Amino acid sequence: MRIDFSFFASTWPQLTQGIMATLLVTAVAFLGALLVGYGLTILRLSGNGAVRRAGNAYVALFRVIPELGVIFWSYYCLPILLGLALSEYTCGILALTAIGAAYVSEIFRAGYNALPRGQLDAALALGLSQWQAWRLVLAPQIFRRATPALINCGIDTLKNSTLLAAIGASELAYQAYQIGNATYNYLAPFTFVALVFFLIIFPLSLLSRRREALLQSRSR
Amino acid sequence: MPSLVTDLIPGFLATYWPALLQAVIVSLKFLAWGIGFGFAAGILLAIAQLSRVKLVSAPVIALVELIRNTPLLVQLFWIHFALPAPTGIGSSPERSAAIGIALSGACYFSEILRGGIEAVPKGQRDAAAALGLSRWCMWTRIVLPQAVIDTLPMTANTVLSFFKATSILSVIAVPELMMTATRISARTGDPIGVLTTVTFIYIVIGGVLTLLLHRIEKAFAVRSTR
Repeated sequence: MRIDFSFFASTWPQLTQGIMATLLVTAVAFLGALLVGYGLTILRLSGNGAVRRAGNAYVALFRVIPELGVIFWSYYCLPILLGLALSEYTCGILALTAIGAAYVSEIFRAGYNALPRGQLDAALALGLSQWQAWRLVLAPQIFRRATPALINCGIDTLKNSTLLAAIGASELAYQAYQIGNATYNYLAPFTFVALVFFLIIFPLSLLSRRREALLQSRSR
Repeated sequence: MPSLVTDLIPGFLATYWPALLQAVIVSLKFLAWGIGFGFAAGILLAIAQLSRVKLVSAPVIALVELIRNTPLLVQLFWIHFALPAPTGIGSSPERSAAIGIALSGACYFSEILRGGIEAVPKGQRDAAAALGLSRWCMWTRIVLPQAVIDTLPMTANTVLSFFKATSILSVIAVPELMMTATRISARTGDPIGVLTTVTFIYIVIGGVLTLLLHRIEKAFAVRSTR
């Protein structure tokens, strides 16, 4: 088995385009997931029972609906329902955002619930406004505690972004498949793609584990 | 005779319910295989990961990290399209899928069980040795039962995520539920009806699975040692 570097020279533009698309899709979807997940958490912590139940149901549903199912549904059904022409990227990012939001919300809620109940009261008693109490006392603690899980959620979004290949979005896995189809060499592009994903995900995974270990040691 | 009930049931089900049923069985088969093989192999890999012999632990740790830190879709593509080149053995979608999901299952369970084994106090192993128990007895009667029971919540999560992951097998044309759904939807031209129905099927099966796993967790919670 030999490694043919001219192979990579000729397919390089396609591969770099794939890497950029994968990173962009992941970044946009994850940011979206953070925002929607934040909003969802507020709904789930609200005093209104119906709103809270709806938020919880959303999270519970995404625990069992396959990611690919959400992506297909978004790609084949949303354009019809909305009457809009949506690109495979738009549909894919919307699906990944919806999936990620459920997980992000679960992470934020766990972080909030881990806070001692008295903290908000104490902050308010000290004369801080609601917003100040949130920004200065509660939020920093929640985010610190949530960091390892949020990194893992970002990793999952990155992994799930490969599923967009199934709806023809030209992200990295899709490009490798196209290159394989065109050249009958699947080994080189897929090995390259696997390596790229590993080189991105593994350091993130180590970072998440380090932060987790740090939190554990601090909480003792 | 049209009624409210028959109106609510999508028309394609009358024609395609046998195909969908068969597809559900295929999905569940791959789930059972991935979890069953994965769990059994995961126990062995976890013990190997913890081996003091570097020659044993290092390659296993490398494999587990490699699989856990790359997307399943890329693994499946690699096994199905790339692997036949160096081995010279062609593969069917089913075989590639079986290899892919078993490998993935083994590595995820290995990591879970490794954590579980490490959480069992070291003193218990020393005590077992001091009592003259064999290594087999020490693992199967003392360490592993505790490791498995203590990690049941994580195992339940993994089972659910593998249940979802079986849908990814459709990308290499395994005729499981998601693949069948897109085929029916292409034929009937009714993606909303078909994909929504299939999502509902996933929710129902996932719900049953969740309840089942919860039952198992509860049944064993009583016997937990800590």
